[in-house]
Amino acid sequence: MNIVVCVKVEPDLSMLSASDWQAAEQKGISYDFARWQLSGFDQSAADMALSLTDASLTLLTVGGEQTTPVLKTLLALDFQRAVRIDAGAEDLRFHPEAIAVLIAGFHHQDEKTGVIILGPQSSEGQNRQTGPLLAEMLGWPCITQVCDIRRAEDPTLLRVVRKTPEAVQTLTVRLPVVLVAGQAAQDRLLRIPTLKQKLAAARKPLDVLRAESLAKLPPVPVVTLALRNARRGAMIIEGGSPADKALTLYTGYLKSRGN
Amino acid sequence: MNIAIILDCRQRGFLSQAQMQNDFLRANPMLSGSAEMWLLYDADKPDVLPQMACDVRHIVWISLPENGLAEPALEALTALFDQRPAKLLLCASGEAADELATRLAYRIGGVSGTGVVKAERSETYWRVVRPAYGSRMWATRTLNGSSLCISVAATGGKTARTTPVHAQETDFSAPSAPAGWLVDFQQEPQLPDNGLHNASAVLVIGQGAGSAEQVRRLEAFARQIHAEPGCSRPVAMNAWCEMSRMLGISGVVAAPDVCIVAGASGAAALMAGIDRSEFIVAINTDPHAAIFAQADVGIVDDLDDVLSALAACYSCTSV
Repeated sequence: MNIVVCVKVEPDLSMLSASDWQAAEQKGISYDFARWQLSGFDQSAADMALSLTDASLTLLTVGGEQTTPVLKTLLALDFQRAVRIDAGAEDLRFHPEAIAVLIAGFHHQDEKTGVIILGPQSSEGQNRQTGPLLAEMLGWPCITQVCDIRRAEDPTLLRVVRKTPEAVQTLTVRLPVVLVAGQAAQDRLLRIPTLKQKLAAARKPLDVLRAESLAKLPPVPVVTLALRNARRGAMIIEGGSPADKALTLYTGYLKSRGN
Repeated sequence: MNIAIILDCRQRGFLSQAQMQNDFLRANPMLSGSAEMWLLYDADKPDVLPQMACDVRHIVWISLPENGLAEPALEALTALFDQRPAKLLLCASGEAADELATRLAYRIGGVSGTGVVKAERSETYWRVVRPAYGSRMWATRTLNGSSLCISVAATGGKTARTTPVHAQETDFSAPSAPAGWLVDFQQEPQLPDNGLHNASAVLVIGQGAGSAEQVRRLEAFARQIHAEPGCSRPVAMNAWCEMSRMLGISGVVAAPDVCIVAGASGAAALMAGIDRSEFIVAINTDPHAAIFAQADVGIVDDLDDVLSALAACYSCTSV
């Protein structure tokens, strides 16, 4: 079973200060100093794939050279190969169509992939569209809100568990299929490679493909950014003991609100 | 403008979903026009329907299997769109709605967006606004296309008012090609959710709680002050609190009347889940914590001391 796991390597946005975000409106977001990491939304997708033994696992990302250390760490797990698609100067953060076109182009290189697994979104673009768009482009079924995958007795089938607000569903599906990890699977963290695995990973291939060699990208949309202003400016309850402050909070604010 | 409001009545919370669509319509009065509701249901049509924030002139009922998979809904909605084209197709909020909006737009040759808070139409393009960068920013994207299919932003769990049906009703027979890829399907119903998303008061417990035992203690305080306990992402990831109680960008979005945030720094990812609260109280030992800029009232002190004293205030009143 050939599985491609599509991940996003992105900057740790929590390292940016309030002033960085304020400057972002005019100058764009600068995160030269930020740590690059696997998107938290992709950890469960990657770990689900690793739970299938005897599968051929390829890790795929679209990004620049700064993604390489993270990909090498991930290669130390049971991924056989990692591929980075380099889109050059194109900013594809808000362009899920382009990402889906590139993933589809990667698949069309050899048409051997049976399962493509993605996380639900990235932290930067928050597009939440790449998986469904990819399924439409490939003409494959798409299962979202996935929280687990298992082998079926028949090796041509896959058992997929998805969790919706209404039910936990177990689907036995024929391949190929696009799977999108669900928010409910977020407590599933990616395993950590051992030192031995890290040393062995040095021999695994990390291929770089040019985006234009895979597909012609659709026009990049115009995107403008504005700071989301959630300021309320709290009135601080000063003085006295914690009990005094709690009493002021209760009598002055909460009691009148019926709470 | 022709608007098709797509609502999945198979979902337990479809009235809350309708309210989020209403919130979008109220925030976008320029999109007013004649609207239809395209309602998905399985065995039985619901007894009540939501009152929508626009003039609904027609209701189309679409019977679907109860499995909730997108494929049958997509086939039906695509066929319905061919018969009743719309400029704006308004799906609800959440993962299922995101998928439906994206794939439906692809099939009808339209453009799409997810978690949209605003949409504007010019002669040749759409402009949509939605959160980005961990919900710290608003991203405005220009999309060239005739029909726009979107899922709306989550705005909390309040339910839409219900109303008798006055509009003309039609039953639409959906094409039903069997899904050859689906070999077997089993499902077990989930218990109703914990009520966090539509609670009138919420206590958000942050990492400042320090331990699972302390979170248990704070959850007990929450009950005493008539609030539903929730938590920030670090608390959930530490397994100090169950995942279903996590608030924020990837958890529950709530809009309670009162939201008390104790021991959380005020990260944007958390605030995305609570910033529609009517009144926010911040309790934190760090006077420089970002949460104070995003709250209405703040207390700089130990959260356990303050909350235990607050619980005592409620106990006195109860007596």
